[in-house]
Amino acid sequence: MIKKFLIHVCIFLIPVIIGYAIVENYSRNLPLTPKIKSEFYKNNIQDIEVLVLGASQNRDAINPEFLSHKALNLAYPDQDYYVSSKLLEQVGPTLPLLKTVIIPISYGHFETAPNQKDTWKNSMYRHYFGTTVSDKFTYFKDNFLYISFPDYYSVKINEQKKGLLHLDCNEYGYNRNIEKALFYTFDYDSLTISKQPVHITPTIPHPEYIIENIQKLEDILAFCGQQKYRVILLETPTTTRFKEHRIPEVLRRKDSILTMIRSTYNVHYVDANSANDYMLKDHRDHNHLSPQGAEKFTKRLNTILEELE
Amino acid sequence: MLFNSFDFGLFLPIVFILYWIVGRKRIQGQNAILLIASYFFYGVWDWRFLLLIIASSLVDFYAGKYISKAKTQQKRRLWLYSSLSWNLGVLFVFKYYNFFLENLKTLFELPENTFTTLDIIIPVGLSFYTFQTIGYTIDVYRKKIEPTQDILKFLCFVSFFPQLVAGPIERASKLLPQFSRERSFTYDKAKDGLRQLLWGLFKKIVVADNIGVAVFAIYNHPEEYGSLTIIYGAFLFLFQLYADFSGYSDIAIGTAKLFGFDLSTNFKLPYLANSVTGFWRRWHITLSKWFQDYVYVPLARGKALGFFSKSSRKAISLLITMGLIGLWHGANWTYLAFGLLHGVLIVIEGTTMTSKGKKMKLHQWLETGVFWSKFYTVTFLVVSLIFFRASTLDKAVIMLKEIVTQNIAFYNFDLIIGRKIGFLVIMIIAEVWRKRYTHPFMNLEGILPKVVRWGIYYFLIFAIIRYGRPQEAFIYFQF
Repeated sequence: MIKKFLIHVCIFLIPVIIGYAIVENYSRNLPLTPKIKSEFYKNNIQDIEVLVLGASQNRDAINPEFLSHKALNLAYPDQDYYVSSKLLEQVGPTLPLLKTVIIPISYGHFETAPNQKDTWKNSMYRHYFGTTVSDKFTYFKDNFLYISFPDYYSVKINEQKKGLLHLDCNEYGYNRNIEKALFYTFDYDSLTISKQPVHITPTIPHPEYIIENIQKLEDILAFCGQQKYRVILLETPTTTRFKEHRIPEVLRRKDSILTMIRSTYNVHYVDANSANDYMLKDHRDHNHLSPQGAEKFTKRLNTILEELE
Repeated sequence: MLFNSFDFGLFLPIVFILYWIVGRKRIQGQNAILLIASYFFYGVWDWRFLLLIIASSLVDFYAGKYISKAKTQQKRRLWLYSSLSWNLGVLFVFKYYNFFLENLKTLFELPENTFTTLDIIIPVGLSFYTFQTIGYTIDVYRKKIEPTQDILKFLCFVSFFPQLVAGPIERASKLLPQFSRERSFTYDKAKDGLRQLLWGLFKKIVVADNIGVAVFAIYNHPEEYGSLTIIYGAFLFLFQLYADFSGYSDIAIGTAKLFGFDLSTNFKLPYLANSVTGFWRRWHITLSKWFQDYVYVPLARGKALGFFSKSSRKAISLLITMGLIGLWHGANWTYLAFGLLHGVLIVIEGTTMTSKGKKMKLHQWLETGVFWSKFYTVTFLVVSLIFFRASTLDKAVIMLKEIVTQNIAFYNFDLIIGRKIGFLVIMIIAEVWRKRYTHPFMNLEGILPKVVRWGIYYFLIFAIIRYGRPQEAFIYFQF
């Protein structure tokens, strides 16, 4: 009886397994930026000298094609210091020429919740870079992409099928497509943009997040010290309106953390946010650069890196 | 380990095969496999929780034994009080201690550092298994059941993994004998269990978790929405809570069936009740029955409130019981308010009235199905659940104020979760259509051909995979 039951269950599950295998395969072959970056990483593992970590601000601000040294940009939306430290610890040692690590110190980065709940990123990094960015026990199920974030991959599969997955990536995986950028949707019309509210997050301070984020940043800096990597703490450009809306208390906290870090660790601080020559078209939205802005910014960053050599 | 996790998807078949193939020849073997599996299931959260559940199990096992052995009533009572002190003490320390101190400080305006609060987390399912073991000891004391002499069976009874962390809260008289009974595999029961499990997963992963996104958005910033949008959010929470908790119960009952066990029904379409009294006969039935037997009846019939008249005694007992039911959910004034609101309504519904020359209680009259009775019940539930969902009483009041004072009723309204709202409609239709059965897939053979049934199952599996969100814990786990 039990055998019959198990056989029936297995027969019932066959279409489910086949269906899932098809979707999983499709997800793995989607031309998404992490896939392109992983190909760049595999093909240039011996030559990469610069590693960019952090969240979407760094992802959009640094286009490695404008750096004189080969750079891998592993910044990703909502990526906190915890994930960045995991990436650094695992990817860093695989890069024999790695000299410079770029880490964000932007407004609010210390205040946001450490996003360890984003377990799907663990699957993404395991698949594309062979790294584990979660402290939780991981096993073969964490290799599956689709099941890690069905909503995201379903949308991407649909876009791909309908020909709407408009990525315009260079070999470094930098996406030059700005169709979905907020300012682009307003046709870069300054009047319309000025009428839009500026969303500044977070609004409520969480001391526990700040403590945890500082701890993780210090882990990164300690690791960089051990490996003798040069550290660039980077603040990317934002719009004037964004700067006006920042909460003074959050700014003060960030500045005091920065002072503490600079006095304790051997780091270089690049404050690109005080520059006033970034035009509206240089931004995707209030705190992200457009490809045009990224070119301008990355060239300047390159000069700084050259000077540090 | 969460039911809605991949881990459980691996754990369940392994335990199932071990249980029926390796342990099939001996009851003790099957019980041992269940115990190890249950402790593994529970220990995955935090192995330290295991120490507590084992300690609680041992206390009640020996308390039961010594109560039945005791020769005098005094000694019996002593063992009962020892067990109650341990169980309620553990519950108090882990769940209510910090709340109690915080309020003491506020009440007497004591300086901030007067007491040290405990930096501890509440073990998952603490309130559920504690109530189950308390029920056992009281039943032994009342001589309703004989205490078990088999410690393995008792440990299994307390920790049986399908219902360990969020019920149903089983009575020893029902569940304990099942660990002594020979269990042979039944194809139909296992099949029915799988179907109920699938339905529970659908309710939790597809309906509850997706509705939860909208509820979270609206409850977090009610000021950003119009009054009707807030009402929409409050209604959604009503269904989120039901789909989440009854989904858990379905998974628990279905899983238990796979191992040859029968657990109690916990929900009977509660939102179709015609009165608040009727609602509590359909909602979290095992909890309300527990409170009725071990709190309400002793209070209403005992000497503790003897100086009140019969009707006052009943009303006070009801209010105390409902207040405690509220507080059972957590150490927060919002839960107490939720419980007391229900208590007040149940007391009012218990008043006698005359309708068409007949004397009857108000809730009996409501349950005859007067047209607005369902409207009244659901409206009250929506309002009271605002207290249940809000993190503080102030926030609940703000929510209610926003409903009344917002000028643009549909300001910022959209479904938020888009077409996924359709899954809620599917759940409601299926449950109402099959309301005579414990779950909608029961006895479908006579109604739908196999190909349609399988089509439905595949659709549900597709929805679970496609619309599953990053694992969300069950709401009732926190209690």
